[in-house]
Amino acid sequence: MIESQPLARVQRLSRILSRLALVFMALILLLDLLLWIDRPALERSAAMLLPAGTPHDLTTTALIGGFVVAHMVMGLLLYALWQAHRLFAAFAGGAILVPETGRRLFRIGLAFALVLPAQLAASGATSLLLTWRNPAGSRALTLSADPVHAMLAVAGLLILTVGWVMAEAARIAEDNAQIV
Amino acid sequence: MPINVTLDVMLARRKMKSKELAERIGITEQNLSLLKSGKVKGVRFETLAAICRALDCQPGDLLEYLPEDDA
Repeated sequence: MIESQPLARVQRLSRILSRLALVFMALILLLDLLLWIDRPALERSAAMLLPAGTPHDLTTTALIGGFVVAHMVMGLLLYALWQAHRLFAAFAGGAILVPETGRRLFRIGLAFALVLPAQLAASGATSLLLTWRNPAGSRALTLSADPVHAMLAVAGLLILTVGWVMAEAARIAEDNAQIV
Repeated sequence: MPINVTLDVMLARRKMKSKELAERIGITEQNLSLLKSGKVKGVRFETLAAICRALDCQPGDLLEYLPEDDA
C-alpha cells in the first residue's frame, strides 16, 4: 500500500462515501415502506401512471403485481448503491487500481443503464394490472419514463464503459507487475 | 511454462549470493526470488542484461527451453 497524503485523503473520503451509500440505501427502503403502507399515496401514484380520467381498480392482484415490478427498478438502484458501498470500502482499504474496481464500476453502470428499460416495463405492467378489470377497449397500456431515467441510462453506459476500461487497465498493471 | 530459469545454477557456479546479485542489479530480493523460481510472467531485457553483466554470462546460460512434455 502506497502511503501518501493524497491517498490518505482518498481513503478518508471513501470511508465517508461508503457509509453514505448505506445511508441512501436505508433511506430508499424507508421511503418505499412509507409509500406502501399509505393507501392514499398508492392511489395517487396509481392515478399518476394512467392518462387523466382513466378508470382503474387497485385490486390485490394489482397491488402485488405493482409491488413486484416497482421493486425491480428499486432493486437496481439498491444494487448500484451496494456496489458503490463496496467500491468505496475497497478504496478506503487502499485497493484502488485492482480489477475488482473496474468490475464494480461496470456493475454500477449496468444497473443504472437498466433502470430505463425496467421503468418502462414496470409502468407498462402496472398500467395493465390497474385497468385489467375495465371493460374491453378501456384497458390501458402506458409506458412512462422521465428524463431522469434517460440521463441515468446514459450516465450508466458511460460508467459501464469506464469500469470496463479500468478492469482492463488493472489487469494490464497486474501483468506488468509480474515482469521483473 | 516451458521456459525454465536456471539462474540458481549460474549463481552457484559464480559462488554469488542472491542478496548480492539483487543489490548489484538493483532489484529487490523478493523479485529475484520470484525470478529464480520462475514465478514471473517475463523478464525485461534491461534486467537480463544486468544479470548477464553481474554474472559474466549469456542469456542462454540463464534460461532454457523445455518442450511441454518435459516441462
